[in-house]
Amino acid sequence: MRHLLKRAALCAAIALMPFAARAEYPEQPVRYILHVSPGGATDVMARRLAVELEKQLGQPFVVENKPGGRGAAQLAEITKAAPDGYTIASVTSTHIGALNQTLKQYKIDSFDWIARLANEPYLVVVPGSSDIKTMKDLVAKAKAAPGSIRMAGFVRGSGGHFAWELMAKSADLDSKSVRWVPYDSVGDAVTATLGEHADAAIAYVDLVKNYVAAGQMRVIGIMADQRVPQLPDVPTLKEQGFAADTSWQQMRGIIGPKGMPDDIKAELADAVQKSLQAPEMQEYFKESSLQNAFLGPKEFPAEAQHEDEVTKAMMRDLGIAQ
Amino acid sequence: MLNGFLVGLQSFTSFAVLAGLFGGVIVGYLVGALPGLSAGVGMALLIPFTFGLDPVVSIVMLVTLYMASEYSGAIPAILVNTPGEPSSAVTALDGYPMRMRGEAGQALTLSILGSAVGSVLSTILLVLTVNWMTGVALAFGPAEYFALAVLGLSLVSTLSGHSVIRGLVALLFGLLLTTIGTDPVDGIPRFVFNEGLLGGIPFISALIGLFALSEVLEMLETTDEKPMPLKAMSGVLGQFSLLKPHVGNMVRSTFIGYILGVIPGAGATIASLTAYAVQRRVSKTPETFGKGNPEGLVAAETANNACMPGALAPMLALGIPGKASTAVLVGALAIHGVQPGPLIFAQHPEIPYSVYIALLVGMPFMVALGLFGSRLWVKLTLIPRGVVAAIVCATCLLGTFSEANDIFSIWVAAVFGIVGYVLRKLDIEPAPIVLALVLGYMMESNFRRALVGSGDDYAVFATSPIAAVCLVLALIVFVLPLTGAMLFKRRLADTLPTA
Repeated sequence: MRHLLKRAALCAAIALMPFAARAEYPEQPVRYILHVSPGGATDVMARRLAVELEKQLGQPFVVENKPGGRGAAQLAEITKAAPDGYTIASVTSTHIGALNQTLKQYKIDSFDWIARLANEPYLVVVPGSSDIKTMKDLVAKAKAAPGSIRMAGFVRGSGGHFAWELMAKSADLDSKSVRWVPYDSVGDAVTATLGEHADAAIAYVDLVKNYVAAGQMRVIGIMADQRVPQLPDVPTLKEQGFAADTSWQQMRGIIGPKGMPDDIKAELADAVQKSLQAPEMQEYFKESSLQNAFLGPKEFPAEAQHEDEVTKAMMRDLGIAQ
Repeated sequence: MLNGFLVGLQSFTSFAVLAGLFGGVIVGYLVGALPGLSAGVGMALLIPFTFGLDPVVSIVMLVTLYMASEYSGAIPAILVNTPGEPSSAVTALDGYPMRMRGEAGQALTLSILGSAVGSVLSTILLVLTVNWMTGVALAFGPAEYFALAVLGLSLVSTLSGHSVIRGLVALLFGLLLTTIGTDPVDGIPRFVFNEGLLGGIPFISALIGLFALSEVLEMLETTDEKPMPLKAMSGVLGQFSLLKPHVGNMVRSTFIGYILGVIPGAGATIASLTAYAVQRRVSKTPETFGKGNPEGLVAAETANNACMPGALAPMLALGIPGKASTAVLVGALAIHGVQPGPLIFAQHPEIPYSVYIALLVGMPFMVALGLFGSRLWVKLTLIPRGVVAAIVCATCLLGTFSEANDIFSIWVAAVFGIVGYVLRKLDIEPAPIVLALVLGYMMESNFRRALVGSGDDYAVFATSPIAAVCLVLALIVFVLPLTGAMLFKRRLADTLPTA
C-alpha cells in the first residue's frame, strides 16, 4: 500500500511538472533496446545512431541487445518500462509480422511510435548463370511450368514473403506456381541462391550488391519508385510493367512504451531527424544502401497501422495461420 | 600472394595492430574459458570499442580473440567438466576423465598443443585454398545440410562407449527438445509456454545446466575434502614430447576441422565430434574412448581450432557469415565500410592478409600462454570442492545471463541442471543431448526446406551426390556396430567349444 501511494504521488508530481522543467529532457542516459544480437545490420545502425543522438541531446544512448523470439524478449522489456522517454526500442517490419503471428498479445497501439528512420526496397535476385534475365522471364517461366521456380526468402508471413506476393499479384501470377522456400534469414536465402539451391531470392540491395558487381548474381527487378544508386542498371518493377505496391518496404524505426508525453516524443524525433542529417550517418546510409525515410510521431503511427492492415489482409488471403 | 603478405606485414609494424593482437588473445582466453560466454558474444561485446579503431586493428583483435577462445573452452572442460564453448563438450568426454586420473596437466598440454597444430595447419590451408573453397561452401543446400546433420547424429550415437541404449536415449531426448520453439517453415509456435522459448530452448543455458550445474550438484554430494591426485609434469620441452604419438591424428583432425569449418552451416561442434568419431574408428584402443583416452582429446581440440580458419574462407571470399562469430566479423568490417566478399582481395587486400598474419603470429603467443598457464590452472584441482562449486556456479550463471541479458535463461539453466543431475544418476551422459540440440534444428529445418523446394519429392535426398554419400555413411555408422556385435558373438560362439 505504501508503495502504491508513493507511486501515485510520483505520478502526480510528474504530471504536474511544468513544461519548462520537462523540456530539460534528457537528464539521464537513455536505454535503447534492440531485438537483434550484436553485429548485424540493425545493430550496427542503432549503435551509429546512438552516437549521433548523444551528440544531439547530450546524454548517452545505451544500446542493449535483447534478442529472441522475433522481438518477444525486447517487447516484454518495453512494456515493463516507464513511458518517460528513458527507454526506447528498435522496430522493423519483422515486428509487424510477428504481432500478427506469434506475439498477438501486442497490437500496434500497445506502443508509442516515435520515428521512422529508414526504408529498404525489396528486390528479386537470381544466380549469374540463370536464364532468367528480367521479371517478365520469371513470370513467363512460372506460368509455363508451375513449380519449376524455387524462391528463397525469410519465413512465410515475413515482409519479404509478402513483397513476393504483391509482385505476383501485380503480374497476375498465381503465387502458388512458385515455391516459397523459407530460410532462417534473408542472408541465408541469398547464400542458397548463390549456390543455386534456389532459383531466385527476395533480398535487399546491401546483401547482394557485391555479388552483382562480381557477376555472380543478377538483380532482375527492384520494388521501388526509382532505381537505386548502387544498382543503376537494374530497372524497377514499374518500368517493367508491374505495378506492385512500392510503399511495401523493409522499415526501421524507433518505438517506446505506451503513453510517452508528446513533447518528449517530439524532442526525440527532432534529434533523430538531425542525426540522420549528420555527415557520418549519411555516409553510413550510402554505404549500406539505406534510404532516409524519416517520419515523426505524428505520421509514423498511421504508417505502422497501414502496414499492419496490409499484413492482416495478406494473411487472410494466403490462409497463413493467425 | 607475396605482394599481399607484404601489404599485410606492413600493417604489423604498427604498435596499435600488435596491441590488438595481444589484447585479442588475452580477452579470447577469458571469453573462451568462461562457460556461457561464447566466442560470438565475446566478439560482439568488443564491437562498440572498434568504432574508433582502424579496420585492420579491429579485425586483427577480433580474429585473435576468436582463435584463443576456440582453444580456451577446453580449460574448464578438462578441469571441471564444463565446456567453455559448445565445441569443447567433446573435449570433456576424455579430458575430464584424464583429470580425474590426476593427469590434468597432461590433458591441458595436449589440448593447447593440439589446438596450436590445428590452427597453424588450417591457416596454411586457408591461405592456399581460400578461393577454391567457395565451391565447397556453396555446394551445401537444404538436402545436403539435412544429410550432414543425419551423419552427425549417427556419429553422436557412437559416443557413449559403455551403453549404446543410454546414448540413444540421450540423443532422442535432445531431439525431442528441439521440437520446442517456433516452427522453422510456417512460423507456428510449438510447445511454447513462455515467450522465452519462442526461439527454442536457449542453447547456452541448456549446455550450462546439463554440464556445469549438474556437476556442481554432484560436487555437493561429497564432503570428502581430500585433494585430487596430481601427477608431476615434465619441463616445457618435455611437454612438447607428449605430442609425438598424435601426429597422424592431428593431421587428420585438421583436415576434418578445416572442411567442416568451410561449410557455412556446420561448425566447430560438428567438427570436433566428427574428428573424435573418426579417431575412435582408427584407434587401436577404441574401448578406452570416453574413459580418458588422450587421442580423443587431441582429435577434438585439433579439429575445433582447425575449424576456425575454415570458417574464414567463405566469409572472406564470399562474404557469407556461416557462424555467429563470423557474422560479428562481417559486422565489424561493415562499420568501417569494408564488405567481405568476392571483391575484398581487389579492394581491401590488407584485410585478408592481415587476418592470415594475425593467425600465424598470434598462435605462438596463444601457445606460450597456454603452456605456462597449464601449470597454473591445474592448481585449481587443489582448491576445496565446495569453493570450486561456488565459483563454477556463479561464473556459469553470469555467462548464461550475458547471452540475452535475460533472467529467464537462468531459470532454464537451473531446470537443466536438475535434469542433468537426474540423468547422471541414471548413467546417461549429457554430451549426446547437447549435440542433438545443435543438430536437431539443422536436420528438421533443412529436411522441410528441401521438401518445400522439391514439391514433396523425396528423391531430392538421393539425387544430390553429397547428400546421398552422407546418408549412406550415416547408415553404415548406425548399422555397423550392431552387425559387428552380432558377427563377433557368432564368431565367439564358433570358437567356443560346444559342450
